[in-house]
Amino acid sequence: MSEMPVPTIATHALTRMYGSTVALKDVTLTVEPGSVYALVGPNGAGKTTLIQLLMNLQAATSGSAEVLGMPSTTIRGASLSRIGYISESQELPDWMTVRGFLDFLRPFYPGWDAALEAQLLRDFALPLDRKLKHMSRGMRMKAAFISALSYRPALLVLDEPFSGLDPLVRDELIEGLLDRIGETTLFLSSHDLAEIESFASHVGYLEQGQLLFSEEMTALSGRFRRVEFQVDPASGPPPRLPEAWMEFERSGSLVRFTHSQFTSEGEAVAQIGTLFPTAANMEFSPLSLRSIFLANARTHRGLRTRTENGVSA
Amino acid sequence: MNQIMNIFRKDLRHLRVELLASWTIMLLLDLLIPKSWVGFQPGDQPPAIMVQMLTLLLFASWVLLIMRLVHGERLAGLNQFWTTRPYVWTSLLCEKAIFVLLFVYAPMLLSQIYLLHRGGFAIGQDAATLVHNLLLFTSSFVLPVVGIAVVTTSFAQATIVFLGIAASFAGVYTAMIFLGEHSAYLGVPRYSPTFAAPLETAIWIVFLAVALLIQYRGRETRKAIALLGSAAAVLFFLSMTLAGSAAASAGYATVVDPPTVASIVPGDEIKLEHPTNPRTAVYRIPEQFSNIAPGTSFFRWAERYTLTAANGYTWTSNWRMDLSTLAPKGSKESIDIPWNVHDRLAGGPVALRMEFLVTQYEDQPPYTIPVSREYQAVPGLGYCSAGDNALACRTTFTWGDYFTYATFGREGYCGVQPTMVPDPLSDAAPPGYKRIGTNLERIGFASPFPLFSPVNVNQGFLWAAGGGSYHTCPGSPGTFTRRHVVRRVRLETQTATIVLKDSAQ
Repeated sequence: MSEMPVPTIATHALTRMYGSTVALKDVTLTVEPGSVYALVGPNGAGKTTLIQLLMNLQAATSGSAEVLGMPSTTIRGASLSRIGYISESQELPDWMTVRGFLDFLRPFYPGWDAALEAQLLRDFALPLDRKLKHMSRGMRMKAAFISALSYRPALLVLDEPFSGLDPLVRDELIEGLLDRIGETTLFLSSHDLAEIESFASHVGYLEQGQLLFSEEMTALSGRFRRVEFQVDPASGPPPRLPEAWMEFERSGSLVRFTHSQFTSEGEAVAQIGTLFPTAANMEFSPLSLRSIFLANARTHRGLRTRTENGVSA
Repeated sequence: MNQIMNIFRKDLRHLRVELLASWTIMLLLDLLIPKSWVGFQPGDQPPAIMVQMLTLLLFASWVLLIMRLVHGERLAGLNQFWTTRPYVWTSLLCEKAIFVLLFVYAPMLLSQIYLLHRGGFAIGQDAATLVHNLLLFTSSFVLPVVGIAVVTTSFAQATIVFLGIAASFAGVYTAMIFLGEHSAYLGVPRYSPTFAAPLETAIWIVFLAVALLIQYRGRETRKAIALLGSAAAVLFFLSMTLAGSAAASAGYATVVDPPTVASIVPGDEIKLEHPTNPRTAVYRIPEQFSNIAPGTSFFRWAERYTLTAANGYTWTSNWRMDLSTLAPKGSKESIDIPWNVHDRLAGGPVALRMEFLVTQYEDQPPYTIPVSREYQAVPGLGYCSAGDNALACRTTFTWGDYFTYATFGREGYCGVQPTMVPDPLSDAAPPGYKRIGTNLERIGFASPFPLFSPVNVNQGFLWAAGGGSYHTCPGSPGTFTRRHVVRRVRLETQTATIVLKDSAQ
């Protein structure tokens, strides 16, 4: 009987409160070794808070997390030599040159790979003797990437790494990451959904501190469909729409919605036919991650607004 | 060790400008301070102001250096790069400590040894005061600076915090002055022997050290701030209560049947002074100290008084600071009584008893030397030089003991070629001369603040009893008398009956 691999990250009902404000509520997720897990969600959803809890930069109000099999509260000192962390808001020692920065960090890591460092420096074409404070944001991010990849971490945690970068730099960084996939588990938060879609194997969606879903990218893409069909304009609305139907709209004879629990066309056609007996010309089209993200964001904002206004969802 | 060395090299590169600045200032001070030791040579302008400004600048450069050193791996906040790197907190803390020891303490100690040597003092004799000064430097300068640095994110923020703390203290103390009788000002001075300063220092160091450990171990900024705030609150509470309390007099033994008698002079009219004083009723009580043995003197640190009305109502004041030498001829001492207490005591006979906390000194055999404008070695004191009407002495951190200086001064300027140099040990003053002298009154006063220069020049004005303008003559023999501490005692007066005027009268 083969043993189950220890998840790279596992959280259990992780909660973080700031006073009475809930930043993160009962988040439970698992990240398997070798996967690329993308954490998405609107601003203020709790992505950075979750990452900071995993990195032991903050303490959880309740719940727990394990990172590389260790309780996250014990992550400090030597255990960080197996974890890489890059954040858009991270302060680097600006007074250092790239060379000085790497020279300083090298002795901290027993597994520092000088050949990989040299290769990354070549790939990213960074000027070694320029101070970090005199570099563009993209170049600073490249320096941060080299400093986090050169010791071949088992886990690389990235908090909005592509935010504000031009497409060229973004592509270079993603290429650098793609080379590491397999030996390193990636856990990243990002708004850059188009790029994430190209290489993430798993995705989690946070909204208002709650993890609404966490699953494989293929499963996610498979269960979301944009649905369009036509009905008799004189027909009345159905008594109640299924919860899995998001962004439902009807304009004359045209009906559109996003199906969030799509399994097969046959099953969907049958379900639509039950609620709209006059439905015809049904079309099902897959959604991009961006569209899925927007559909979820709009739906939950709509629900929130209605709840706040005292209208039952 | 590798990590310590690695961070150390990084800090050394990062802070080389700050280090260079502090060392340059220190070198300038080492050059200038000996020039400020000149005696009363005509035409000499000691660069004292320059020395003071550079000393201030040196301390400012150290503040900058230490702040930037700590903020290089700042502990407050969430976005610093080092917190997600494999730093070991003990290594980081050790590195910071080593850096400060090597680049702040060691150069300062070397400078001080050099200055002692230049000042003509044996380093071995002043080793204890050097160490004491370093401890003071740690507790009242380095640790507070580090304390602020570990809970702030930048030098600008630290400056704002420092200004906020200073403003809060100023505000609270100002309020206390206006709000009434408080021991912070009126109690036994904290620099007097055996008082609370060591306790307060110990509390301060413990709180600061724990806050530092908490921050370096787990970056728990809120806890560290709470701890520092608690330390400030505890110390403030102690300063408000302890200095005037019975505990403050613990080091002063009560002498049964003391040879020296303190008494309230009966018969004099006791008047209410400043009847419109809003806080207290002030009376001046005539007091006298008799039977003071020749060669013995007393320095008074504090006093308190107990008043008992005929109906048994008793009120005892806090200990109140009163720095003066007990005068055998007697003097009048002000006592302050809160009006609400006064109203319960006034009108009838009141039993008054006063207590004094004093240090008793005994004179050692006098030492007579001709004192000119050039510095002369005075055993146990340092080097002294006499001007026309002042005596300047170059000494190490503290005077150590209490000295008096006596000579004869001439009416009018003596000139450079005195016609007569009277013997200061003779009792009678020659015509045109009068006995003049000064007390070198820093009786064991250790500075409450750390000093950079271990050698300082202090001046005492040479005054003649009864006034008049008398001047020294160059080369006049002068007599130095060293007074050493015999004991610290509490003197009590007999109970005297007085009548306090009714406040309405």
